[in-house]
Amino acid sequence: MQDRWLILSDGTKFKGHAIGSDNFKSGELAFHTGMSGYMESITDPSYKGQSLCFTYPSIGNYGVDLKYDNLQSKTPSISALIICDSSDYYGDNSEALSLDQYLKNQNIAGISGIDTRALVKLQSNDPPLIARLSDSSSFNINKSQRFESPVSGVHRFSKSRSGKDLPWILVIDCGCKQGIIDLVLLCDVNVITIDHRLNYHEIKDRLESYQAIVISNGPGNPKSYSVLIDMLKISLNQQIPIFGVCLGHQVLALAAGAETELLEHAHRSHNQPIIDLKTNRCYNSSQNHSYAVSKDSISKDWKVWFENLNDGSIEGLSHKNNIFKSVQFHPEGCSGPQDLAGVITDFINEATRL
Amino acid sequence: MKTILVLGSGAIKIGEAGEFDYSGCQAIKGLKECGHRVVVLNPNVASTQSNGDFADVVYLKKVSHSEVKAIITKENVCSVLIGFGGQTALNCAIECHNLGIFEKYNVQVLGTSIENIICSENRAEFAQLVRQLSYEHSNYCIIENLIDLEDKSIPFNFPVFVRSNQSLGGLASGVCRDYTCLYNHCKKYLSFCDSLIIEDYLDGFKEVEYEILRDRNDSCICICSMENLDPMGIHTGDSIVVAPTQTINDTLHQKLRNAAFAIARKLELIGEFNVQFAIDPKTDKFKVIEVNARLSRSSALASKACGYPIALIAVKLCLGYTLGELKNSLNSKLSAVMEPTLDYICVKIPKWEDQRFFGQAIPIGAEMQSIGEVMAIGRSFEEAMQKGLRMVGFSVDNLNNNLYPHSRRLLSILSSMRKGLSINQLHEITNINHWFLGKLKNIVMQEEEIARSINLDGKLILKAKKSGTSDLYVAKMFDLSEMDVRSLRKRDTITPKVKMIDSVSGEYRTKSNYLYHSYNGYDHDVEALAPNKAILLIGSGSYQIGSSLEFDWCCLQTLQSINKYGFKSIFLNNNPETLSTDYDQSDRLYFEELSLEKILDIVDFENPFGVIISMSGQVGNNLSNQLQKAGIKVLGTDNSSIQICENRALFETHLHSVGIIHPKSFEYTKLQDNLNLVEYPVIIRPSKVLSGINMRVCNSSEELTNSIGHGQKDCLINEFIDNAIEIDFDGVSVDNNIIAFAICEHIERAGVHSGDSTLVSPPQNINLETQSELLKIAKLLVYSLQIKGIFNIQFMIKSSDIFVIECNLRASRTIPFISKLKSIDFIGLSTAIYLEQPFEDLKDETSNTIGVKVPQFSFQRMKNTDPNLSAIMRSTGEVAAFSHSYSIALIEGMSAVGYPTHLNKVCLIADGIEIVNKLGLEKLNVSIVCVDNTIDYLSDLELLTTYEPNDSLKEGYDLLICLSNEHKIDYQRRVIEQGIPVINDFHLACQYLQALGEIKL
Repeated sequence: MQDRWLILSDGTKFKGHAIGSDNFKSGELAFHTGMSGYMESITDPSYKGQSLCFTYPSIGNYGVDLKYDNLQSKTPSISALIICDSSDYYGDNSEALSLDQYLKNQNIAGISGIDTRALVKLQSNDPPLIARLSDSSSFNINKSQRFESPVSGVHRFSKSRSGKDLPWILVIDCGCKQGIIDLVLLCDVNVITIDHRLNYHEIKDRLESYQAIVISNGPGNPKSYSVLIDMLKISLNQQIPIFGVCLGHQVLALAAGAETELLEHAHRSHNQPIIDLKTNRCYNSSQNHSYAVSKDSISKDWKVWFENLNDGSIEGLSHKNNIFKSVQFHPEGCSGPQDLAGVITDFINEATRL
Repeated sequence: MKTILVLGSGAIKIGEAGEFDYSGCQAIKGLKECGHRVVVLNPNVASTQSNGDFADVVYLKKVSHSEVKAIITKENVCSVLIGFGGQTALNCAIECHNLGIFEKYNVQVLGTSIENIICSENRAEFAQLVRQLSYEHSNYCIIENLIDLEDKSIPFNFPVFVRSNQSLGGLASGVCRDYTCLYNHCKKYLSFCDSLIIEDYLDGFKEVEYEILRDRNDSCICICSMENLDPMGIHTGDSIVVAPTQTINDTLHQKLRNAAFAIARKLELIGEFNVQFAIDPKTDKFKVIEVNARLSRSSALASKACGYPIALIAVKLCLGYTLGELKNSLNSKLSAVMEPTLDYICVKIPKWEDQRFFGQAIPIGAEMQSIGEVMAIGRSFEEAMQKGLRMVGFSVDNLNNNLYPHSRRLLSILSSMRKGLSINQLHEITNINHWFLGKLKNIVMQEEEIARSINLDGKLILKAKKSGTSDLYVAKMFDLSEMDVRSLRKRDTITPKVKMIDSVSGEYRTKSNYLYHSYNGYDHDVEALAPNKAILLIGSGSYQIGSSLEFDWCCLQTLQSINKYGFKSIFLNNNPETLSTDYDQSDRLYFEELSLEKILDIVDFENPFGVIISMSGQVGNNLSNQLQKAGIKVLGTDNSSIQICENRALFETHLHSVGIIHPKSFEYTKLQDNLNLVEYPVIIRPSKVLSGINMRVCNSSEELTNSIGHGQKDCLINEFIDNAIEIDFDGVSVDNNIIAFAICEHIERAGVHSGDSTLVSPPQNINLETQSELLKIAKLLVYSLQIKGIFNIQFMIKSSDIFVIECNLRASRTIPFISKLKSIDFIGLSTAIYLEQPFEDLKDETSNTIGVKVPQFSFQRMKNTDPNLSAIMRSTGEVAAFSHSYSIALIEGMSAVGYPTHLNKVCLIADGIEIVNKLGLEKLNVSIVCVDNTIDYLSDLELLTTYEPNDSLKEGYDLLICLSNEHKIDYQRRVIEQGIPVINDFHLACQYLQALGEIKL
């Protein structure tokens, strides 16, 4: 196996084996501790531009089946993949590709043979570590270079129908995972997806024809989604139900006058423990974010719906009128638990019944 | 504060091992943390839960409804905990419930309601529940008799799978491929099972298991998912299991997790439970197989694999706490709701006693046969698997190439790969997933690379170590010594990294002390302990016959004592089924191989003050020489003395030199040509073995030649002293003084392995004069061998002669029994001596308590084994009973392993009238059944007797006493398989019947 190097912005270098292509790109080091669903994470648009590192050591065990796997976008947008152990042999599915072959086809560079646990221990949220792969150990990352997480370059304006004469739901796409759209479509609705950069005036004529708006997840700092925030400020004064997921939750809160802050410890796992403050029931949730809504910045009209049991951070908000709601976690899982998939479907069913 | 009764699981048997001491102890700990008064019912004397200083009150009695009833009234019990003592506790609770005992005394059952547990255990009700939830359950029908079978057109195709409606460990299970096979199977098992279930045989399906916690507020979490490497058809207890699941994608994983939660909610389960699923690998469609609404072997494995104290949290949920209120025990800032996430792979491999009983691999299937298990941890599957294979110590003798399920199939697969069989071919035959096979192939390819290489350089060593290869293997391939390879790799700084199990994959900082080694890592997760301030204790590894819970108990006591004397404790063990591998039992737990390589690695890193090897059964003494050579400071008696005691020839020379008598002996190699000159019977005694593998009594030269044929040649042949009384003498010594000792007398005579004997202490048939003679001889041995700390001597007494048979310079299996009986901390004293610490002098107390220790056999599970007692140990566990009366202690002890306390009808097989006469059956008002010519003797004695030819389908008596020299193996086995107790030792039969008679009076 060909040697490859993982180089970090703090100067650390690790030797591993080459997988995937040699299309080397720098990217913020993001890790994930989930043990299942590598394909869901690799194709999750929220990881756009990031170097994704799995702590679970054995990745690619069942290969990649483009028809069957639950891909979250058509093409992966990660800049590199960092793993401990990849397998030449995978699953019993003869249709599947190896993970290595898939990465090559998608022109994404990867490295295996890395102690990903050691890497997690190195990571920090502020400033984030930048990782880059190289075939040469002498390569260095230019520290002065700034790596702003790019705001989504996902362009979508597409319709998904589940039937004629059904209500329409507008999904504002900031890098939306397919799982969210699939979840909305579980209800008897049609979905139209639009790019988050469309401003209020571009969509206002059609706004009334939607029964509800869902704001998706996406990468980066929520404050950089200014066009969307402005649009939401206006929408909040109308009576269209709005539901925010992950980044969508953060921008909705910003539009409602709350603040967001960088978490001391990012949430990037399948086992973020949360509590529903209405029922006191507890759940594990799939999460992937480093920003959160500041607790003391919430206006009186809003209530904390879900809370993180570890750090007490806000995991969900609901407006007193009950038609604006948002959650910080991923109800759709993909990958990860779907214990709270009902928060979206209940919301859509409620909204379409109005 | 409430008084809460915890039901234990009784003696260790196949299907119920030390995992229930783990779960029971965590439960007691949880109850005590919440301020309750705890009463324990468990006759297992080697369990930690039955320690006097742990629970508030301990009843060493049979887990039965009558005892439960008595305890409830005596102790004023408010609540009972039934899910922490295996199927034994659950069955007992269901019985109490059916008899209305809980209702009558207003005792609350904590956790899941009994009604719902009964539903989960009943196939028909459970299947209906699964279907109500819109999940699939396999097709099945229930038959109660053979007419049912003939009447019912089986609603599915062959092959079918048959099992008993309510059973543990897959008893009466099997695959039937045609109607004749099905008919015969049903005929056999319907003789003693009320009903049988016939269902689809899910050939080649993947088998996975999910461990779930649920609280009263309906919060559910999934602690661990586990996948069997072996597809459906092999009992989970006999399967190689990997945690977490490996070949299942997230979509399916979430579906299974959701299904498990849905079932938990429907059954309103509270606490811990697990769900088993079968998955069609072609479609990913799954069926729900069963749930266990209690702590189980799998939950113990999951607990160890994840570093999550499942039983401790479960007991709190049973008390009414919610998950959201509880904290992760490794990091108090984290919530207990967090599902553990692993950054390593765990492989569990079962341990069978195939070698002991059959000298070769045994077929495995739906009925569990393994005795123990090991768990190996690595940062790659190859690393974990190779460790596991060494831990379980699979012997490569008589390896067969059969790829159908057998106890050493893994080795056969590896061997086929070496011969060139492809992964696809192996998949066709075994249905094992390509991923697992591919990983096994990588191990073979690594072997081949080593074999091909001419030079051993750092690069090759590192690569081999990353895939889990041992120094010893590399050494053999390059014709070097293990220590050569060790110094080569240390020169190149190739050393294992100490990795932590923290349940959060390094995402949060935790203070975990739960550790393993990996070569797939850059750095240590922990810093070394302060040099010379810690003690490394070697554990006893997987359960096997002769090494069970008793050594865990010894280790746990040692760990406590180490702390008491101001040292940190480091524990090395690899058994997931025991309390001793809970991370809160030691300051550092290394879940690793019990090998020279690992001990040296740990010593290099931690620099302990010394190593204790004497609590690990035979494991430590077998390593003693190597440790001595490697310069390791072993605490206790010097290695030279250990070597004398471990080698029978050297030991006899020693006995001879100090003037102690011993049975006459001959070296086989010198004797070979003159076998006719030997006086028979003789006993073969190989060196360095625990529990008498290959040990046997031979009555003629032919028998001797045959026995040696499949044993070791370098063994000693002893004169066999017939009808001698055997004695176990356990003691602790320092400075040539014995500071504590206990004497146990065996009820069975010499020739029956001490582990299979019924023991009584203090002795009932030896006078005080002889007892002081025993002490004198023991002192002579202590002096001449310079024994330091704990030791055990086995004596034989024949008329006035006292022989020494063996001396073990380690803790013996009787230690928990005598420690509890005499309230003497043998282990603590021994540890104090090892650590050169002062200890309190023992008060000279004479107690009137008599203790009887009774072995538990699992012959029902061990297919085709001879149930007659012999010099080869076969019992799997033990119980004890203490009383002021020998008879009461004997009957209570025997009842706790299944013997009746009242005899109505007994079957007798005996060879002669004298034997029958000595039994004293006439004193008991009991009817006697005969199946052979024993009837003649009985009618001569005018005993009330009926004759029943032995071809009836179902034996209708309480006990079989079989004292025939012909052994009657087939008949005994038939009776045993129906669950009827058997006594086949004359002395035990006499004592038992006499005691029964006395108790009646």
